[in-house]
Amino acid sequence: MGFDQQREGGTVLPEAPMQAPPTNVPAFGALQQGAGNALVTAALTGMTVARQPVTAPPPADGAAAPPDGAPAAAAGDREKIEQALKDGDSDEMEKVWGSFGDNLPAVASANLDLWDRCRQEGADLEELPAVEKLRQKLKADVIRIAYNNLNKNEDLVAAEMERYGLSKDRDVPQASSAKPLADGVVPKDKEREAQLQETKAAARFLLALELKQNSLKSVVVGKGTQPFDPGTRPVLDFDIGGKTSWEFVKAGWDECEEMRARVLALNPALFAAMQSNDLLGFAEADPEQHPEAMQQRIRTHMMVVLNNIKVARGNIESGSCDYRSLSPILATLRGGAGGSTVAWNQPFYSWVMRNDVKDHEDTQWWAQLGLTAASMALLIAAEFATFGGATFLILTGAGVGISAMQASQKQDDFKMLAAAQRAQVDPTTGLVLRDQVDEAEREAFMAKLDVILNVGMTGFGAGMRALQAERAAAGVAGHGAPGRGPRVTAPDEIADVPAVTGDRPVPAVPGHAPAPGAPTQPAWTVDDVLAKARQTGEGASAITLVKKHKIPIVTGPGNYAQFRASENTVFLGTDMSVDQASINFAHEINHAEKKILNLRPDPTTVSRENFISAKVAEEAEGQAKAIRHQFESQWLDPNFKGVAAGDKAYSEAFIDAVQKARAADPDAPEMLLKLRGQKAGEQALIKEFMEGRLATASSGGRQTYPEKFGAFWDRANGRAAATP
Amino acid sequence: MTAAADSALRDAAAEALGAGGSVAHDPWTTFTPYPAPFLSRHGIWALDHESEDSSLWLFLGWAAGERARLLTGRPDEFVAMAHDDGVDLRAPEQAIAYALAYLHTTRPAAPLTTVLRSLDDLPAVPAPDTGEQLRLAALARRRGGDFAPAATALAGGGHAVTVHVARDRDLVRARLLLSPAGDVEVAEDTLEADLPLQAAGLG
Repeated sequence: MGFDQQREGGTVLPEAPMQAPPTNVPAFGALQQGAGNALVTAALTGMTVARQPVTAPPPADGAAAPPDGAPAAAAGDREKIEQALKDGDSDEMEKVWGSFGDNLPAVASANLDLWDRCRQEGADLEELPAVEKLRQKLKADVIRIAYNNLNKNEDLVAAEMERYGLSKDRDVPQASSAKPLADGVVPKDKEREAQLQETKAAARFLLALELKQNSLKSVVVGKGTQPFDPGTRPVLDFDIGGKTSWEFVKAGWDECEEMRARVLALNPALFAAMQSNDLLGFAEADPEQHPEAMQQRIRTHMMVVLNNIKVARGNIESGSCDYRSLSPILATLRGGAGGSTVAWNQPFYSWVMRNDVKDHEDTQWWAQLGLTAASMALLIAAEFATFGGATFLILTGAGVGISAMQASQKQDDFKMLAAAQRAQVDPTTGLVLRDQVDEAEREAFMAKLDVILNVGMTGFGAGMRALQAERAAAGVAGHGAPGRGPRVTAPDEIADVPAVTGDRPVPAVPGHAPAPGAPTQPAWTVDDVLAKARQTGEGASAITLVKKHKIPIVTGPGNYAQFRASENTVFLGTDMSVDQASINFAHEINHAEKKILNLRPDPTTVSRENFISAKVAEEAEGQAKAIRHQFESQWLDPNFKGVAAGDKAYSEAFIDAVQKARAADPDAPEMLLKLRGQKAGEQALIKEFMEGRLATASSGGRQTYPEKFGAFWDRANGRAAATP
Repeated sequence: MTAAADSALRDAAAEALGAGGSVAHDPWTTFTPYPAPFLSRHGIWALDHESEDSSLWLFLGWAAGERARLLTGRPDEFVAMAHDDGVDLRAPEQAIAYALAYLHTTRPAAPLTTVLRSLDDLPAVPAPDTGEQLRLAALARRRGGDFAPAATALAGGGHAVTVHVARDRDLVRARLLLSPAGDVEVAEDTLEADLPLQAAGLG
């Protein structure tokens, strides 16, 4: 982004808002050498966040504030700059700007046009001492905020552990070691139990929220009738009471994110559990009979968080993580928060920041921090207790199964961080407002989401009917009618309506040039497969992944499908029916996702047994997705012809698990039953694969998947005699 | 096969596979001849490719100097190849070999399709439980003697060939009417469903 763009909507700062760093951070390296990391940490942790209004910062060190807060270059200086510009003398430009000394930021802020023009004419202004001083201030600000956040988060986790009666030093004594009462009954702590019940309820709510939020993706929006994508607004949309259909659903989506942030901000243990995909463990815990087991689970997750804090702090101390890579903190500052004495949100200062960090924007900073999960980087990005708003989701990827951070590295993704950090702090006391989300509020929220879903699923009523009429008048046929469930987008619609061109994940990849002897016209195109896929939850998720990771879909002769890891492409043979292709699409995208997110085991670093287990689990997960797509497609269209083997085993396991769970707890919420069923279904598929009931064909005979992956491991480890 | 012939075969296969053709040149891809005594100029080749993500097993028909034909999933291509080759199916043995090749090499990637010649070819699940063992034993008693392919001469020189096929977990009987020139008409009956047989994964 250019300086001019940054300036849009901005105002010129009324005075030079620069001040010396509150601590001696530039001397950080020397301190570390002399005193060691611990002392440096102690020194730095003493920093405090000055919550001064960013619009009225004190004057800069040594820089006299211009009278009346009007810091323009003196008329003579401006003339000098303009003359140098006229002469094209970049040396003179640098000299004049340099002559402003510490007042340069104020002068530049008031004369951004001249600043830009001089740079365009070749003046090397980035190296002027005043700019360098700002860079040092930026570094100090970033490190100060990072340490503040880490320290406060550590304190909060410690307080939470105390609240749960947990120790950092020892595990929770389990029931067998608890001292029994005379009658053999283990004593109960009713207060603790209630606390744990509340945590369990929060976990259940988070899971339900995730399911409900994901179901919003099945709502069809826009005139192109594509499934709702929170990141992509349809080009053409219709109006529903002052909002577009996309905005209507997006509002619900955003509320889900904020609600999740609220709940998690109050439950650090659940935040950590979510990163480990263990919310279900909390949701199914038994605080009444086994409170110690649940406490131990909480402790385990808390200790992971504490360890991450320790690791992150160490990597900042050692310099392994460059301050310029800490995108969320930079975004905090650029948003005008962070308690800096420099108004980093103002155009000139924002330019200094961007210029300093421009080569670091794409750095995977959480990796530099040495964190076990990208989402743990939130620990450094903000104060735990004040996480809130959409930023939380951007940072953690909460609720989408994987960390959205991996796809959200740009600094602008964090632009709302500043607002989020202020969201739940009482401005008068600085205390965090611990606004409990009680059961009534949870129920009311879910009911509200149901309304959005119902409105969306019934085609937005009048809006969709108007769209239908519009299309009928235009003589366009084949569009989904309002009514139950998602609708099919006709292929001709995809081709003709610009609103959905963005739904094509990648440019059509050549592949339809028929091979000699092949049918001259394939029966379907990629768009047809996408139209089939987007009718179902799994299919829509696969499309989202394709768009997000820009996975090319290649078509060509053949009745098979394949993910080609070497090319990161998915091949779909056009000899398959389009229904079958959509089944295979859902399956192969799962492979692609695992590869792109680097979630696959390396056969050279894991044991043969573990490699086979991990690969079979991936295979089963993809098969389960394909089966869910199949079931949902068949529900929508009884004539749907695609099939994924193992559907019977999956279905039986699903039903069995649901029945058992319902019998054990008649009040178990539907979402828990569904998760239970899905998990059981996937386990059944793993069994099918491991036992060779699902096989892969080869001319050497039928090969089981463990055999196949075992052979692959052997080859990778040089244990196979055969070489190409 | 000479290196030149191997190279020519891979080139022809790559062309036949179109956008999916790069696999033909992968060094881990093997080509194995499939016996086709009824052909004179052409050969049938099984393409095997193993990777972490997928296993490919495709059949191609090819005569040196000519384009290859993808046969998998394409029975019409098989017949067209037979016509080009000038097959003349007179003996019952030839008709049976032709029918088996036709079913075997044109079967789709999924469902898992196994052409049976005897009970031993039945793709039973590797470790059947007790109930499954009983079902397999009952199947063997009931139909085990039927699996050998059989041909009957038809008036006019053709043959009717009966072949049993396991298609995922179903047992199917296919009756193929063959003309001497290799034209095929197929009628199928599903004899048993949901047997403890192997099925095809998608990967």
